[in-house]
Amino acid sequence: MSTAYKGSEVGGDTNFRRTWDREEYEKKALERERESERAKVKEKPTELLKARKEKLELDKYLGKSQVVQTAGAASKQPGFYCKICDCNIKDSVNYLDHINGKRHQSKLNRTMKVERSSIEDVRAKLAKLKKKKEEPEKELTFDERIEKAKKDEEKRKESRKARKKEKKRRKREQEEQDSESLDPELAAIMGFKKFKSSN
Amino acid sequence: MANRTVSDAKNIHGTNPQYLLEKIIRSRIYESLYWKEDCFGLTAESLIDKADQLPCIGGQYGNQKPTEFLCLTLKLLQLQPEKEIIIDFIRNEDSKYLRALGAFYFRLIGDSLEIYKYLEPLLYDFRKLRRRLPDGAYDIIHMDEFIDSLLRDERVCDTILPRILKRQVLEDNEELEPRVSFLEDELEQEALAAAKKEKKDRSRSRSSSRVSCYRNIKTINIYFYKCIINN
Ligand SMILES: [Zn+2]
Repeated sequence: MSTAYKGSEVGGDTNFRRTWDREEYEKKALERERESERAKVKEKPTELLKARKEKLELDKYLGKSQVVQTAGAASKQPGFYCKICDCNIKDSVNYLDHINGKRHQSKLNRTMKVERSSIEDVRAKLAKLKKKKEEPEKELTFDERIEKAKKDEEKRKESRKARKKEKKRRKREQEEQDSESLDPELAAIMGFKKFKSSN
Repeated sequence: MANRTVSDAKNIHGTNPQYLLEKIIRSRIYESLYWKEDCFGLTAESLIDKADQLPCIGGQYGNQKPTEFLCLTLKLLQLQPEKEIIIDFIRNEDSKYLRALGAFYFRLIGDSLEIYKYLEPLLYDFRKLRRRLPDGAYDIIHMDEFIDSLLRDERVCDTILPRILKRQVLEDNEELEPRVSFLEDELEQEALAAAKKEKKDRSRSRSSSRVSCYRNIKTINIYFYKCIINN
């Protein structure tokens, strides 16, 4: 006999109601409980806090739009997207706070404690610094020079673009101001009519 | 440990070391981008490069923005490295901004005797430092001037310096040798030659010669050159 007839055996004319599969739900509940327990005993982060080695370049994409193709709703919104936490942060300051935060760091398996440098670490570092200062500015290879020239050119273009944009904006503002300050009588004589806004 | 002091830190002058910077300045530092982006996760070791790259010393500027110099000072207060480490910062010859930072920090946390002991030798460092002024402009200050102000003034880089004993007190207690340097020797000998028999109040003439010595960098530089040539 199939389960579809179960209802009619006990419930008489209420057999149209859905019957709850208790076993199924119990199983699910149990699983959920186990899951949350597992999360609770999840090992504490074991690594110490680390400083970022590279610059964040938060302004790298300033003024540019980027096509992002990843799954998940969070990554489709504008702003900064944190891959590790799969969340979206609306501006750079909040993004910094996020990646400096405990939640994000513990996902990287890091505690909020920082390593304590020993005097030996410091002395080694100072020796390195000394060496760096003593050795003359190293000459760039041909490829590096090309790369540098490219970057410089890019920067120049970028700033030219920004200047142009700014100029345009100022011009537009000026025009708006001019049209606003136009004497209405004079405007009438010249045949312009001020449009009344329609609301 | 974004903004917290290390858990095993000792109190300095009876308080959490970070409190040596005023609360309002501290909170401005915590809010600054340099703090969030560059100071996060720094150790005494990795801080060395940041200090070396400092563009200037100074307190607050413009719209009361803290300088990077102050940010790194707060970082050190937070980390509380061993004194030995700071003394190495101070003694290093290769990075003047690391030295300036070390000296400023040491002035905040050290006791009087050590401060004189480790900072006074820097009065012979005449290298230039850029300093950010409150209005945002820069000027030039020499290392020896900066150190001198750390030893004499109550407030440097918008920070109230903890009180230290006067040098004279430590000398009277025979904890500190009277300061004789080859520069002062020269100055003094000249003074002595001029008034050989008037031997009264030697200490005053010494201290006044010290003042003129450090306040007038040009003369001292000339003296310095003279000494080198003479040797
Ligand atoms: Zn994250």
